Amino acid sequence: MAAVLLFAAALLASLCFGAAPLTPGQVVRALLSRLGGSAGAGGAAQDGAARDFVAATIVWDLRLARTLLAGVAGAALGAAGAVLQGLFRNPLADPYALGVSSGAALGAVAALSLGIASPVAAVTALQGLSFAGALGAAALVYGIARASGRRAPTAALLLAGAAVGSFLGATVSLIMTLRQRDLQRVFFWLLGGFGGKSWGDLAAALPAAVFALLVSMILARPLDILGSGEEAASSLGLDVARTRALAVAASSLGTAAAVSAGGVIGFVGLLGPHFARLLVGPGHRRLIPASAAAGAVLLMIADAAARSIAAPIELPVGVVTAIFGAPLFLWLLSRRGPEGQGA
Amino acid sequence: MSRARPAASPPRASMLGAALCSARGLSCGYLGRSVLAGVDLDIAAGEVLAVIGPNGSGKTTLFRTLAGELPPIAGLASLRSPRGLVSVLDIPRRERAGLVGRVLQSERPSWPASVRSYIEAGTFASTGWFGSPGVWERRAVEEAIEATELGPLAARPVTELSGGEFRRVLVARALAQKPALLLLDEPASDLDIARQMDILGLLRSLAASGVGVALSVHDLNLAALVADRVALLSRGRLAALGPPREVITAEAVASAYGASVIVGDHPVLDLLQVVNLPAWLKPREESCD
Repeated sequence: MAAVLLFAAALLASLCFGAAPLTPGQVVRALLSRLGGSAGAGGAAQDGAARDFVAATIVWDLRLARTLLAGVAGAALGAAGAVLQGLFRNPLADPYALGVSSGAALGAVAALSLGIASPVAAVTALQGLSFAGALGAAALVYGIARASGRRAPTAALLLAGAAVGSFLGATVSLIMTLRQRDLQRVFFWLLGGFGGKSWGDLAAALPAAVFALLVSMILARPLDILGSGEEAASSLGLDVARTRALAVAASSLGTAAAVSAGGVIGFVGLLGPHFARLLVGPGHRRLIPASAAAGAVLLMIADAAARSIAAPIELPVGVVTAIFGAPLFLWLLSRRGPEGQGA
Repeated sequence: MSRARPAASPPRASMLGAALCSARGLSCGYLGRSVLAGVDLDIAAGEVLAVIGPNGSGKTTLFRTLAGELPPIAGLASLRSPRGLVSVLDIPRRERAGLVGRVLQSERPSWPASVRSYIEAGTFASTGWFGSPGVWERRAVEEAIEATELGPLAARPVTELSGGEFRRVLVARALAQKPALLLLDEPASDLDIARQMDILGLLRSLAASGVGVALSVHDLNLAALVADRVALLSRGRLAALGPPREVITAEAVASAYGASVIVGDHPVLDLLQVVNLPAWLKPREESCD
């Protein structure tokens, strides 16, 4: 309940900020003006409040879609972070631990290398290929870890994730060096941002993000059991291999949705679960939705900040999350208990 | 030493029930590399079986195989289920968790979950992925908390417990599985002597209530203290199985561990006592006696 209120407050605040600041009252009126359907819109025109009409245009056509997209991406990253931290039993795991970000970057570079002329098709290719690259990297990492034949495939997942991530990252750097024409576009895409995102982008990202969140919720009790360690969890009756496969699938899908929508945005997937753990404790049944809510709120606020801090120039949102996220994360770390196990 | 020795407290051997777990010609190990071979062993309801043997002799491997976590290389490991004695490989994972509970030696909690919720994980076998603990499961948790006297700690984060307290939580979680058989890896290691006696006393009272208990233990005196029967693992096989006095002899210890000991009588109780006699210490002169 508190999470819903917090989400609404962050959404409202985020809609107010930007190159043309609006008051909360204007935003609420603007939101209501079109919720009433065509009749409501006509009513607004009859009132002759031209400023309200402009506000409605800013809110509905420019800000609402991108803000909601930021919220969806943040929620996907937060939930993915919670799931991977649960799987790895490590509060320092983040959604990119399985090489997903470099896979997405490679996909993006590949899309730009195609040299598609039509801007719409180019953006579609960028999002599609980065999504495919993200999932491909995770599948590769999972396959390597399974084939390694080690007795601790979860540790192998982390190691394979690091290795595959470095390899794909180096490949991206290599291609970018050879094709300097696209350097800047890839660079800015990687830094992340929701500028110019539309309702169509939201519709593209939403299904994967929602599906990933649902699968993550299924994993709540298994991840609680896994907190005892893999051998203990197995002796308690948990199918650890199935849990691991589903956790990798759910977190990679959510992260891929977020990355293809807004680029590689750091710290949201790390901070979301940490805040959530402070608020609702370590039980995953509450932690996963709370992490999603925290991720959504964090990223919507970060997106608002990215629009406002240096307006009319828009900062890359990944820069904002890193600049504010890193100190915030250090502050959270300093609050950890003596065992180093706390939130 | 004129004081009469009181008889060992628990009524032993007389109240042993049916075999809860049985190994026949069992070979176990990893990826075809056999650690133990040709093991014939039953564990009965109401008994405490201590498994002893040098490091690497296969105590944990044996428990993993008996619990069905590790497939046997050869032979048969079976558990008593409602269908009778059934091969562990034919019992689904969650049903197995209701038949045999394990306590691992080196478990560490990942998150500061409360003691009660940590113990509640023992009910996973009956609730599964989607269920939440119902009346039956909640009662199992409360009974486990009561049996291990963890009531005052139930709300504490498991990450803040001492080693002895956490070991009791692990036993409680295994009890919440409502298993007929408990397999414990080194439950007394890393504990001070008072905490060791606490946990062994708990195991004896569980056995008195009809649970079959098998534990691995390094300290031979603890084995003699708690066990009805002792199984000695050595050189890849079950070298001896029987009452402590028959298994723990100076010759058997020398052969299995390569350690020199004297096996005598406990000064007060009707128990054997093992005293180290390392080669690097000279025995006292006769005149000092």
